[in-house]
Formats: sequence, C-alpha cells, structure tokens
Amino acid sequence: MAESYETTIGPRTRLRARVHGDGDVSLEGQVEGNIALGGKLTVHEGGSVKGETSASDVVVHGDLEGPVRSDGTLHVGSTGKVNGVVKVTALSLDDGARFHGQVIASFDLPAELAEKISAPAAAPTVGARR
Amino acid sequence: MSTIIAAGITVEGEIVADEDLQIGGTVRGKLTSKDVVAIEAGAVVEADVQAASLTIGGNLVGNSHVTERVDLLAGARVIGNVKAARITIAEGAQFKGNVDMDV
Repeated sequence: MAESYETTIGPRTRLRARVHGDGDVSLEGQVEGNIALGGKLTVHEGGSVKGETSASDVVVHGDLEGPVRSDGTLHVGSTGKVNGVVKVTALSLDDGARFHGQVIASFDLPAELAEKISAPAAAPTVGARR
Repeated sequence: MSTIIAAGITVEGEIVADEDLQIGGTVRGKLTSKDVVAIEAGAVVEADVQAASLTIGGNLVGNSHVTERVDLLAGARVIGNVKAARITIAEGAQFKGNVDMDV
C-alpha cells in the first residue's frame, strides 16, 4: 500500500479546496477549487473539476469547467467535456469529446506564415473591405 | 477505491470522502471521511478530522472526532483534542491535547 503512488481523488470524494504541488493527480471524484500542478492532471470519467486548472499536461475523460493553462497538451477523450478558456501548447479532441470555449494556442509558425498573420491588421489586402 | 494525497501535493480546503483517505502530503482545512483516515509518516495535516477510524504516523495539528478508534503510531506528532471510543498511543508518539473517550 505504501509503494510510490500518485495522488488519487477517489470517486466518492469531494474537495472544496485549492490543490497544488509537484506530481501527478488522478481525479475520479469532484474538485471545486483551483488546481496548480507541476505534473499531469487526469480527470477520469465521472470525475469533475470546477475552477482554474494549470498542469504540465491535462487529460479529460470527465468534466472540466474553468480556464485551463498548460505548457503541454490538453487532451479531451471521447467522454470528456471541457468548458472554458484554454491556453495550452497543444489541444487534441477525440471523437465524441465536447468542448465549449476559447482556445489560446501558443506555437511557432513557419516564418512566411507568421509574417502573413501579423501583417494584415496593419495593411489590409486589396478588396478586403468592399 | 480510496483517495490518496501523495507527498508533494498540498490541499487547502475541505475534503469530504465516502471512502478511505490516505495522506502523505499536506492538508490544511477540514477533513471528513466515513471510513479510515491514515496520516502517514512525513505527512502534515493542519485540520479538524472526522472519521470512522484514524491512524497517525505523521503530524496532525487539529481536533479529531472519531467514531471507532484512533491509533497514534511511533513517530506521530499530534497537537489537538482527540475524541474517540478507543485510542492507542504507541511508544515514541508525541501527543499534546485532551483525550475524550466518553462517546
């Protein structure tokens, strides 16, 4: 029972709390409050989060409501549901996943594309307005 | 199934569990379980604890109200009042507070 284990919030546990620290968290129960982890957050089917989430990676098979920040990937599985503003490096949605919110992705574009994206606001292309 | 708060993780707030609760990390606030609560060596709990049964090998600051039994293991450091039907304090456990076995 006392080997190296990860933090698990069981299906019959409810947290109204701030959860933070290094290491991974596996969530099958409910958390109402902010989560800030150095490791990975996995929300299993039946698990739910209401609050701000930040973690190295986030995997959602349950419900997540609130803003998500991650330097890694947010993955929403086929049973997952995410509602919130999501600022991550990469986002993946499985078939069946539900997502409502805004995606603020930060990744590097090839130089020629980056120029096109940043240029139009300053110099609109011909015919763009009328 | 059970809930495990591993070393390195801090929970600040309220935990309500209908299952076993194993704590190796830090918990501040309030802790309620209908089953066994185990505070492991190295764990820091600053909370009032309600449980069916409580085993302490780590640090607990707060009052505990337990319906069955409380076991303070060697190395445990407990500051607070303990209310339980049965209580054991192992040699090497440190305890400061009142004991109320009158349930």
